[in-house]
Amino acid sequence: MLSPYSGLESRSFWKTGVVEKHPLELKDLYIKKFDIGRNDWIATAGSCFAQHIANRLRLRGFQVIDAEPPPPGLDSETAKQFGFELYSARYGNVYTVRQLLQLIQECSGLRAPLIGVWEKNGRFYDALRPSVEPKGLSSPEAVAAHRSQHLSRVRSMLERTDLLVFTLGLTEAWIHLADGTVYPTAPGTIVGCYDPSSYAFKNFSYDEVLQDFLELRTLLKSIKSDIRFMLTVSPVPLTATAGREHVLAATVYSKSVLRAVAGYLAMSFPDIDYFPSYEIIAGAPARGFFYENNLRSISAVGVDVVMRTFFRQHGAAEAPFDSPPSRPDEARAPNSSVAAINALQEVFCDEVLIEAFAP
Amino acid sequence: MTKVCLIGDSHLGALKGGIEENNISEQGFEMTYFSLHTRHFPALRLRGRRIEGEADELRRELAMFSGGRDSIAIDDFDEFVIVGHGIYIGYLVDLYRDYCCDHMPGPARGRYLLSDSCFITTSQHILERSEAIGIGKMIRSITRKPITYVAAPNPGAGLAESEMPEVFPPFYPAVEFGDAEAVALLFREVCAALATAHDARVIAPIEDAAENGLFNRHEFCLLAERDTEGAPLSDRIGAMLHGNSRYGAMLARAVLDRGESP
Repeated sequence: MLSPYSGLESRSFWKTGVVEKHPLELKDLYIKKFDIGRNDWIATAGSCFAQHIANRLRLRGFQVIDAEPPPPGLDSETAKQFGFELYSARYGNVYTVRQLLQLIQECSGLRAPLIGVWEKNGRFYDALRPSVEPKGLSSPEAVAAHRSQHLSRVRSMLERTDLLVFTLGLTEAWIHLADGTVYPTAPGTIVGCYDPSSYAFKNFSYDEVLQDFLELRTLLKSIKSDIRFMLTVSPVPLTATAGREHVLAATVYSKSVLRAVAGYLAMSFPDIDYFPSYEIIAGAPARGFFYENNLRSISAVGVDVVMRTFFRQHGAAEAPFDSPPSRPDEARAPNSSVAAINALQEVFCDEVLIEAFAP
Repeated sequence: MTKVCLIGDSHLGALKGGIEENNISEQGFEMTYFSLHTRHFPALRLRGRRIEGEADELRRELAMFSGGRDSIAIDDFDEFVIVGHGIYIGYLVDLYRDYCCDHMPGPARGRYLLSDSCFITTSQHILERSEAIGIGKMIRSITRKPITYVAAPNPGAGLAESEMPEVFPPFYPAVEFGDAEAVALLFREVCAALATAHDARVIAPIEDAAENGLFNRHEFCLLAERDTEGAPLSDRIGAMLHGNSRYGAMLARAVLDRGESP
């Protein structure tokens, strides 16, 4: 008897698509919806896992925008402490869709947070990205100046973005009650001060996340009409929940909502693709193998498997990992100025050296 | 008698002149100079408890500029002074070309705004890679004896901006836009950070010799002592970038006069 499942590929069945496949070799787990060209400008944002994606895309020669590159001379580790080289601009982790929506609204002049500065020990921090200046700034005015520059760079970034890779991280957030501003961290955890009359815990629902993304998409299309989206869901569990559920249950809720929204969006719009990194890392076939001992951090092997799956569909799979970025002006500037100054000094110091020290 | 090992590039000349003209060596110090062209310092190595050149050619050159000594025996000295070799405010001024920070009062002029903390950290990282710090690390790896780093002087006043090569760091714009004092202050903070990081003293350009924050007064640079009329521009710029013995005397006081008996 014929059934609708007759003739489907092996990937459609759990037994042949999963059970009989090694978890490292789920080659047909992802089939791309559209091509990503080597000339496409890619912007990345999202939760921590998006950092891995950005790095690997760069190494494979894709054009990942860096709208706020670090100054030459700063090593990569220190640069990251100042929020450089993590994403396409220094916005730090963008955990929720609402947070990204508000960032785009703000750089489009459509909103301004009532409270944008948090204080700690006499130093002032951008409440919307408190981790990018580890020592804070000297005044609220300085925070405002830095934020203005940041928003300008984000706006420029969006205006040329062909593909936004966004990793949905959380549904839980802390909001300012007066204007609904979503913050990436709870007030008082890194900086700021928790006042229950001003801030409240918020756990976004499916409908809210979906509406936020639809609004975000519309807004971005008004900035760059042909922008496309690649969505992923972070497999990194919650560090903590402020809800009443156990953190494991809260994690499953959060990831389930985000996965469902991403799935709906990818099914509904030709310009939105979903890449199943979440399934690779957190899915049952992996048996937790790709998590570090803390059951949160993703191992390098896990990232490798995720990106190998991605590059199988988006080409460049055989390219060496150390391929240089294809646009020199986007590359991390070598310390050419130091070399130039050294050369300048070398030219000039001979005579003086001989005069002072030659026998 | 304190045996002082002075290692440096051409900027050591000013300090040597300042010490000799002020008879510092008669005041309880015995000075031994080791000088090499800056390009050679990365080729120095630590062998046993001596610093020497990697190659015969370099050892010969070290001997030529260092009174016949072709290596530095660390145990022969009580303290070490490392002059120039990349401890230079010009690196901060070059960073200023494309970046500004909160502490600077001048207009941003399209440059990227960094926090003071980031500007200082970046500057420190650049100077950490200098030859001077490399030499200091070699010494520090085998002894806890005092090490003093001496920054190259500020450029001297006296030449026009239009005469400078394109790669010359934007000292003149920093003065023009009112940022020179701020850059000089940031450099002193970087020097303090290096001192802490390397358990050493770091002597920034002498403030009493400065003019407009980032330049040394004409009387403290070699340009003041030379007849540069008709000389090639490179010679004049070279003289502008180097301190003279008057500046060296001020340096000597900073290096050696510590308010205590040597």
